[in-house]
Amino acid sequence: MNKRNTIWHFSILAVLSATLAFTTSAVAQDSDADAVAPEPTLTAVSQRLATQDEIIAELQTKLQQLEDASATRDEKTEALEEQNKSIRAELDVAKQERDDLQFQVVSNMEKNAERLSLSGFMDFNFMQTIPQTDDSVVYAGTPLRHNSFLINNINLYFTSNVSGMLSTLVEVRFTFSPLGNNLSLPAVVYTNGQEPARIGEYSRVSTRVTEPLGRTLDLGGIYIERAHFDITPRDWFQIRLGRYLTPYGIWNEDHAPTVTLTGVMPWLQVLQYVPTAQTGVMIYGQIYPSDSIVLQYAVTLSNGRNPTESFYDMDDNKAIGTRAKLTFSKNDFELALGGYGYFGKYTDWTQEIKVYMTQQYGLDPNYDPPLRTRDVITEEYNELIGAADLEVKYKGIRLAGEFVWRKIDYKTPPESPFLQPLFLSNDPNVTTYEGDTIARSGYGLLSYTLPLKLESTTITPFVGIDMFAPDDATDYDTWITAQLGVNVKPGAYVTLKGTGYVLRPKSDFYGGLFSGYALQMAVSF
Amino acid sequence: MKHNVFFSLPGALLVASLIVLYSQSVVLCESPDQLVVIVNRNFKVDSLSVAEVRRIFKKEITVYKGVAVRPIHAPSGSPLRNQFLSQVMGMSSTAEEKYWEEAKVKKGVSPPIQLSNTVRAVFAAPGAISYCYRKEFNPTVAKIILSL
Repeated sequence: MNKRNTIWHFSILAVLSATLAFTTSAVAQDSDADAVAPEPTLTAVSQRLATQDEIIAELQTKLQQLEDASATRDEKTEALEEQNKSIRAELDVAKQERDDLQFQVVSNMEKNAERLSLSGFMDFNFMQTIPQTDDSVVYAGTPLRHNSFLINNINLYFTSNVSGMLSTLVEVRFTFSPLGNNLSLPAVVYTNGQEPARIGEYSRVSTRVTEPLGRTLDLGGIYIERAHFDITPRDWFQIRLGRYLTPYGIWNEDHAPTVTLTGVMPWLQVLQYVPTAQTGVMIYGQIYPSDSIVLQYAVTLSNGRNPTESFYDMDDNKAIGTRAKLTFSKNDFELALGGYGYFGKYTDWTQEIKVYMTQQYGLDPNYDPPLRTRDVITEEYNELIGAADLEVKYKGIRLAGEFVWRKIDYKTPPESPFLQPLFLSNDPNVTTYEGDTIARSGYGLLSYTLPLKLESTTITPFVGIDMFAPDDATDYDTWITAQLGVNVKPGAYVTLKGTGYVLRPKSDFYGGLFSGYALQMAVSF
Repeated sequence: MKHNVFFSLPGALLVASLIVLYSQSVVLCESPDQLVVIVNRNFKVDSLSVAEVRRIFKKEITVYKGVAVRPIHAPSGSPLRNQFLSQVMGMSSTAEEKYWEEAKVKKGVSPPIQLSNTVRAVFAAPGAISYCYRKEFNPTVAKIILSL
């Protein structure tokens, strides 16, 4: 007998006992009443007994009915429990099938994503540079004379994991360039304030074309930021083949406006004292000496720097570079210290065909072969570069800085830039050539992410200083920029920046201080 | 006669305290809601540190002892995922989202896949590494390499 039956029986017995007790009590009460009444007769007692028998029979019937009902319930309960077990088993099977299907779906999605994944980012800017004087020479060659809306980056990433150890990455930048780029600027030279002499003509790139149906379009350009394979046999030994971002500093690899702190690019990036990207081979990796330390290294071998390096090399010398970076992190504190060294040769040349002819305009048989080519080197130099970067983070505070030193030794120097002889008080009509130089540039940014209790929004004010000096022989071209701004991220994929800055050229030739602002919205997708 | 510390009153208290602490630690270690990091049974690794697991789930480590590792997350926003983020990754879900946004832009790396039944996923995927509650762990389909 199960527990439920026992409870039922006890209940029934309790009811029965209560009824009997009540009846007995009633009988007792009757007896008490009868105590003063005349003694009952045998007939009356017999009647009472008969009544009691009826009551008992009735209760027994009820008991039997209840027991029958209980048995029915037990059967139903057992059936329900069986059904319950069956449903549970079906549920387990269904859950398992669901998990299998989910795994298949996600795996297929992942496989598709591994085959080709598309993502990217884009920015939208409103900016202007404002010199102290309206006719500042700094306006020469810059499109930011007037406040302007500007889309600077439309970058798409194509990534693929061909296998667990082989992946590819292509980052393509769509740009409206070269539309509007200045090709040449004339100079109107006043000698002793009189008789202006005009040298050169103004020209600007136009990409405007008219379609056969008559609509006019301004064509843009496509720039391949990087395109490489990555082979990963071990984390400490990986191989990258193709065009890759030079592994130096902080900004160069961050580079996306959704990640970088300020809307104003550092000078060392603008001037590309270190090549932004190289085409060749990179061996890299990382090791973990302890839980809090990461050591990263990279060795680069590439075409180096020359006018066509992204496509092909113009000499047999390959540029070599080495990168080392140490990262220490513990709790809220993180320190990263890196360095990059580079040595390469820049070569630019033109070609000409040499033809050996006779006086009768035939090929001269005295020269074998009579048709030859000759390379005419127009510019050649060796460059040695050292770069260092430092990043310190503690809670919301971040200090980041980079410094680049670049030494150029010319073998075949090019002509000096157009206005440089004037700065050097030389005659502009006399051709001068570039000399060996040491250039320097560095920046530092200090920021603090406010400890606001916002869901996913971060607000980070920052200050920064930036400088460059392109030539240690002449100090007239040293520039220092100070900036102040705020970086707001309402979510992981959106960044809003506002930056104000002041530039101070060392030379008065440029007309004093400059100020400017840059407002930027960047979205990744 | 030399006084035996284990038969003195302080000694007895010390032993009793140790027993209590040990029993409590056993209870804590074996708690059904304890998080365990699990791998596919074919993965030739017996244990990993918290830092190593963190690096795998950040995809800083992509190959471990010659095997391409495949981290699998519990669904975003689930209590299991949040507990893992807190105990192993040391970041909030918002910070994690920002981390992957930056990783995507810098390195073209995508976040790990996410599945509701992480144990089964680990069973099905070679090189897979994930996590679950101890009560959900099934030793026939995966093995534990870290208990938190």
